[in-house]
Amino acid sequence: MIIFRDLKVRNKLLLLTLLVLGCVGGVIGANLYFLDHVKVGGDMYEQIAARKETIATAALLAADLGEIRGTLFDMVVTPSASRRARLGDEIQTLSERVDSRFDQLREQVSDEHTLAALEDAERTWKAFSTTASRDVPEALARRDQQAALELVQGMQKRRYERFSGQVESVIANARMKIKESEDSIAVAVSDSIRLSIGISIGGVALVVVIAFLITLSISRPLNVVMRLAQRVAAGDLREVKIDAHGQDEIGRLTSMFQLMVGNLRTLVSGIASTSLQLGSSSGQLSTTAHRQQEGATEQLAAIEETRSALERASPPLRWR
Amino acid sequence: MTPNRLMVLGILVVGVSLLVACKGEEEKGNEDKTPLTYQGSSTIADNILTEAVPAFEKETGIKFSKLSSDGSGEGFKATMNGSADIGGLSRRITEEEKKQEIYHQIIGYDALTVFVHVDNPLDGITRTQLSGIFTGAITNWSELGGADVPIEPVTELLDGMRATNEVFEHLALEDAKFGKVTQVDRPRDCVAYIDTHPNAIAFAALAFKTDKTKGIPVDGIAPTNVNVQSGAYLLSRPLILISKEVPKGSAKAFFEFMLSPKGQAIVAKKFVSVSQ
Repeated sequence: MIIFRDLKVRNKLLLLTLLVLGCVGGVIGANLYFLDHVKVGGDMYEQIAARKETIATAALLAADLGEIRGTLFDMVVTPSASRRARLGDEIQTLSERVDSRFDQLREQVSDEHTLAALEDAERTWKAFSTTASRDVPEALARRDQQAALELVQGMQKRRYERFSGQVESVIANARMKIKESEDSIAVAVSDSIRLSIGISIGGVALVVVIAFLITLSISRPLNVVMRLAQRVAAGDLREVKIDAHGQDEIGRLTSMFQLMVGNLRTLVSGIASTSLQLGSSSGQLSTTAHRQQEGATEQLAAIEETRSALERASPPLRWR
Repeated sequence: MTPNRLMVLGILVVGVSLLVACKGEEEKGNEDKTPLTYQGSSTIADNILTEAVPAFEKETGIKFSKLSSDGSGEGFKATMNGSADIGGLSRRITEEEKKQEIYHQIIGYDALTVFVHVDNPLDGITRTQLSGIFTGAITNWSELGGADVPIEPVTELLDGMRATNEVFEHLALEDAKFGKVTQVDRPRDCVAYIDTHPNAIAFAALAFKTDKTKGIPVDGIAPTNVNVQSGAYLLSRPLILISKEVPKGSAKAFFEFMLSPKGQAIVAKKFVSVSQ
């Protein structure tokens, strides 16, 4: 209230308009910002996209690993030497593909947990790969199919289980993280909505309060002046104390009005005393006149007396 | 209403609306020091967590309010129904469990070691022989070239929830069923049982080795780090930490600690670490 006291009404109205405009603008701006921000929750969407890519690569890797294991088994059990050689080449190609998939995955993955799992899988894969490309062909070259089969069904199977387990865990965890990101996006969206509602309510409330205070700062002194005017209209010119009047137009109006009433009072009381004086002078005047009249009457009586005395003392004189 | 009251009211209204707006933000912040609970594999609890938990608390200030080691199966259930924050499995996650979508991280590998008494002349065993002993097809040490005394196979309780048994059944018995065996509750006691029963044979984490027992190679391959890491050793199994959701707050900190060099060093004392 105090801060608005010295503002001009014109400026108050201007301030009010600006406030309403600012509030509308602010609310719109804040909402746009949050909408944009959630969209730029973009980095969350990017994470999801990256994880989907990881899952895709890991799934391809798992498929290649499965294929290489099957091919290895085929190579061991086939009786045909030419087919065996062809399958050996196939394993070579597949191995290179698996190696490049591991490289690709390592580039795609950023978190420590997944990297640790990947490194572990790759280590077991390297051991698997060595056995597949060296130990198994060596056993076959010795025509020891039993030893080769034992390798494939024993050690290689366990290795396969281990790295495919790790690759699967990479996929499963990435899937869970996608779900988590999606959930946190949902939370972020609802948070932003809440925030924007809060800002809207807060902004509107602030403007309402300030607008109310401004309105009050205009209307209160106006009411005071109005009441004063009513009293004056009713003929009451007594002095009144008006507590607060600011430096705005209404404040000045109030001061002027008070001054006017004061001057009016002085004027009226001046008139009253003058008329009083006038009354008393006219009274004196009438008294004087009265006395003069009395004096004249007395003189008239004296003259009459003198005339009648003269008439009694002498015969009537002839008057021309 | 006086102007001053109006002012206060206005400030209140604005303040409350700002609070509503900011509430969402506050909930997220702050470092989470909520105590954690663990349930699951005793292999992990007894050999890793006994050392890892105090080290973790010292580093982060986060405590564990519960550590219960009642087996991998129970650990999985408890983690899924939310009664434990972190579960421990000392076996692969089964296909059935995978369907339930669980966050899991391998923190190391255990070599399931075959233990016999130090006085037992046996210095190696094949998978077929192991399978024979534990399914009940081989019952006398003489069948393996030893003295003519009956073999006493020892396992943890066959209650269907013990990871050690499951792993052994899958890898050594190739999914055949256990025969007549002596059942002991805890893995540590399985090994300790051999101390007083020289004809016994048991399998457990290498960590449970006692002075009177020895671990013997399987199929000619000893349970060394290199052999476990390369997958050459038959009876190896992953040690897995699980959580119902992608770990957050203190749970996330614990997963990170276990994969950090410090955590992995603790794992490596008794097991084979996952990262090198």
